[in-house]
Amino acid sequence: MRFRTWADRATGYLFVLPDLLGLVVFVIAPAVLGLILSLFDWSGLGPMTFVGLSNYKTMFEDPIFLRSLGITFRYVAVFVGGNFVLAMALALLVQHQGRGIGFYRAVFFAPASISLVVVGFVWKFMFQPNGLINGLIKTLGFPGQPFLGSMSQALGVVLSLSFYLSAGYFMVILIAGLNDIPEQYYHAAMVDGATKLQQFWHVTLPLLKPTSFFVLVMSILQGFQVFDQIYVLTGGGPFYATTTTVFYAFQSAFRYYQFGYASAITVVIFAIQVALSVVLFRLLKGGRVA
Amino acid sequence: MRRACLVAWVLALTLAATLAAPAFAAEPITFWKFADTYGDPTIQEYVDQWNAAHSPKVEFVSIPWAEYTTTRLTAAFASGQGPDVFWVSPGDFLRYVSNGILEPMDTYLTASQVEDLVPVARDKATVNGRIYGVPVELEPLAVFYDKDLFEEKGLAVPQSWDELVRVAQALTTPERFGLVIEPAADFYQLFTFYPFLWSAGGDVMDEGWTQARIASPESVAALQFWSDLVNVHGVSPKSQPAAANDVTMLGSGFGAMQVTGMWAVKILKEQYPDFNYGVFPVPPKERGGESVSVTGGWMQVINAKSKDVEGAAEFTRWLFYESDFPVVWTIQKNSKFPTLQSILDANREYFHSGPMKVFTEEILPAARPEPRFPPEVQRALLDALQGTMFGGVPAEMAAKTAEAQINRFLRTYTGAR
Repeated sequence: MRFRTWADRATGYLFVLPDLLGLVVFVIAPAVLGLILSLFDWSGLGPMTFVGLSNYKTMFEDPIFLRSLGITFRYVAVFVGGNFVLAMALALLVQHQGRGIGFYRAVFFAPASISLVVVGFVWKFMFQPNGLINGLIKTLGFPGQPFLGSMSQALGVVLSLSFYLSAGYFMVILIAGLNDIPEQYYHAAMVDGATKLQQFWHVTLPLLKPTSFFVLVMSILQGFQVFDQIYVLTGGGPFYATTTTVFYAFQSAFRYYQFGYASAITVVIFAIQVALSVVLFRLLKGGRVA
Repeated sequence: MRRACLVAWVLALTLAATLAAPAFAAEPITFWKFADTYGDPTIQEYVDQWNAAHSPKVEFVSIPWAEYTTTRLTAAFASGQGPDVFWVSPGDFLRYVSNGILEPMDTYLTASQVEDLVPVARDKATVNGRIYGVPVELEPLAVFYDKDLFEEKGLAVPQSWDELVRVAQALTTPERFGLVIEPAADFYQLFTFYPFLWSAGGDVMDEGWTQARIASPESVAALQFWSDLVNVHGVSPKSQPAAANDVTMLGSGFGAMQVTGMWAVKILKEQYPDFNYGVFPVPPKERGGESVSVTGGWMQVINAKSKDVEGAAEFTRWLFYESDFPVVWTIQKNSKFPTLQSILDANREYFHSGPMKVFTEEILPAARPEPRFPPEVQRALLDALQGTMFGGVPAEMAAKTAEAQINRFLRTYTGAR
């Protein structure tokens, strides 16, 4: 499009302006300020003290931060893998139109539309010391489990809630991807004598690459940013067992009032996410099929 | 295209005009507090009373609990938009004093008004000889217990930690915990842990804040005891019910005893009117030792950078010394101690009878004010407690780590003590 006059050009910019302002005020400026703040020591109330890279140095000597990184990577690995498998399984179950399929799709998708805090509390009720899950376990003759009060079980409970909330949402995306694959490929594969499993492996998965790429990147980002589930279920405990790096940044800022340190942590999280997205983009060739 | 151009310019001008619009309205004094659906209407009533007869007007804002001390107050003061009057917890108080945010309150009180504050309340609000707020209430900690269960099992009130464990074991069933202590890693857990730490003869730091004391054998014993309650004796829960609302855990039968504060008297009366309960002081480590309690409670403070410090101070003085708010707040609406001796004296009969008696005669006299440790110290202590209780860290090692962290912090700490 060629602009005829400066007025036309200015008009175009004016239409973009509200969005651009929003982006600058609510996204770019806070990100830049966060980066600057990471070079200072600030309790949120008094004066700011410039400390250079000291916050970054402290971070890599802080055992709790290093542990939170380990917990985050473990959480992301299990969440991304498990979520993909679950969403794919659900999508394949309800991919084709048929009687009652709409109902099942709605049921699988429902958790994604319920408030996370509400679901979180339901989970907390289920996994509490005298809750439903322990009731079932005791009925079967096994001893009750501490779940949210256990260093080894709490993260698993958080993960189970994350799967419950996300699988249905990604199922919908995968259904769209599956329905985009032309039927002829399957017909050709059947003529060649391919089993259902071979069709899935050689036809479905390769042609689903763009959708898979989207699902993987989105769930990696979601996994890194997990917060609400932890806030509602465990508060990061017991003894940091469910303190992911994002949650640690939140605690550092709003419980211990170390805003500079918390900003430095968020900068590191951002860098890790960018690096991971780039690696994934390269690995999957940006989701291109060929 | 011309029309689009016109529309865009009109929108742009409207936006510019909105942004540039000056605020002409005269602003009232802002009074912030954490939201409490039960207590807030009472506060609003007194704000309305003040507004009907005084100037400047006060605007009461209650903020969701989860945001109050974490994001809202911090963000407001960081951006120079802090409230004129607000409530602050003892754990947060010193941070505000150290950063010059609080106006000394004694400037606006007469000598007899200062004198009227009970000593433990005055100590709580005093830094370097100046009083920086009016303590709203005193809430000492104790152990509440199910009296019927005690009678049923023929149990006596425990006088030492060993006895406390034995009684808790006798009361523990697959469905019920013998003694509910706070498992969640937050500052409230520390608040409920202090009486055990002090009753063992331990402490976090020395009095002058020059040296950590958390690795002393007495302090380590307290850490070990809390860990044993959960891990060895199995009489305390590792996590609480989803809808755990303080003493309702005792009232609902989740626990047979619970470490909680005097505020629980009112909650039990309101929610479990037929529940037969008793109260005893946190037992000392050994029989015959000294039982020590801790007393919390919020403080009303004034923003030194308020646009109307005088007005804010006048409202605060009126609320606590001229209106009957302290009586209504502590005795009628809640079960707390007032911070003024004159109110305690005027209501002697109430405080020396019923469930208040043990608090007045045994627990309050042995209560220390909630420590005002900076967040760095609280964090070191919380990590030691959580690590011992849940992380499998030996108590001594957890305490030594905390001691090193606290000593490192004290070497560079220049704030108020």
